[in-house]
Amino acid sequence: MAEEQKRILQMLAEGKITVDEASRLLYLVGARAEETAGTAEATKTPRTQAKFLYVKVEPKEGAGNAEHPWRDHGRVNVRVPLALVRAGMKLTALMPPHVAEDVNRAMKEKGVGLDVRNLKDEDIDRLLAALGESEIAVDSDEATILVHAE
Amino acid sequence: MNWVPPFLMKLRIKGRDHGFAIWLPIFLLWPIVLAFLLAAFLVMLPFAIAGILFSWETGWWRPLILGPPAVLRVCAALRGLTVDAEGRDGHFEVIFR
Repeated sequence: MAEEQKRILQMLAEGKITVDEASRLLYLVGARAEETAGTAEATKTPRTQAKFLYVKVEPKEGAGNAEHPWRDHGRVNVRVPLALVRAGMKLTALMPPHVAEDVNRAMKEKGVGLDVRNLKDEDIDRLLAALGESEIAVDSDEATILVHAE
Repeated sequence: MNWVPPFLMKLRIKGRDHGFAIWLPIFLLWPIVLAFLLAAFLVMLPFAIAGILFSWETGWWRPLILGPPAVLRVCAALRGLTVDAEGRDGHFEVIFR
């Protein structure tokens, strides 16, 4: 890229292009360099090390009453392979355009700027990597809920 | 990307009085499923092509083309899935290996 910038400056010095043209060309060269760096960074994004997503719901002993018998809801232990999450997220590509537009609009209203029809592997990997780093633990009177990836 | 479906499925259902647990050798079903899918593909191909052409503008052709491989990918990704739920009335467990 430095070579291209030098050539632009040389052309400016020789009077072959105007200052405005040089400025525009330098901007374009810079933008392309950033884009290339971004692509390289995206391809370098490591796949998440976590393999499974765990969801555990453990009811507390003696919790609940006749009106809200949470104790009777029992225990749930689910282990979901992240490959399944990845494959499931890929199913969004099957959406017809108008459905995807509605979904995208609804997600944007909630502050999520994702295009569900064009989810790339890098996007999914980034989401799963974020999931792998976080842990959701809810400790209420009725039950303990734990969601984490390992 | 893993395209190999699960080999085994463990199913365990336990009620208040009765229950059972079974390991299902899913890999024995693979040849049958493969033959069925191949036959279904050949039979459905003309209809699928017609469907794709008619639904091109609405965008519903996407599930027709991308659906089967996506479903196969989901099936293959089932390996390792474990669901274990226990309640007052019983216990349910399914494991894919």
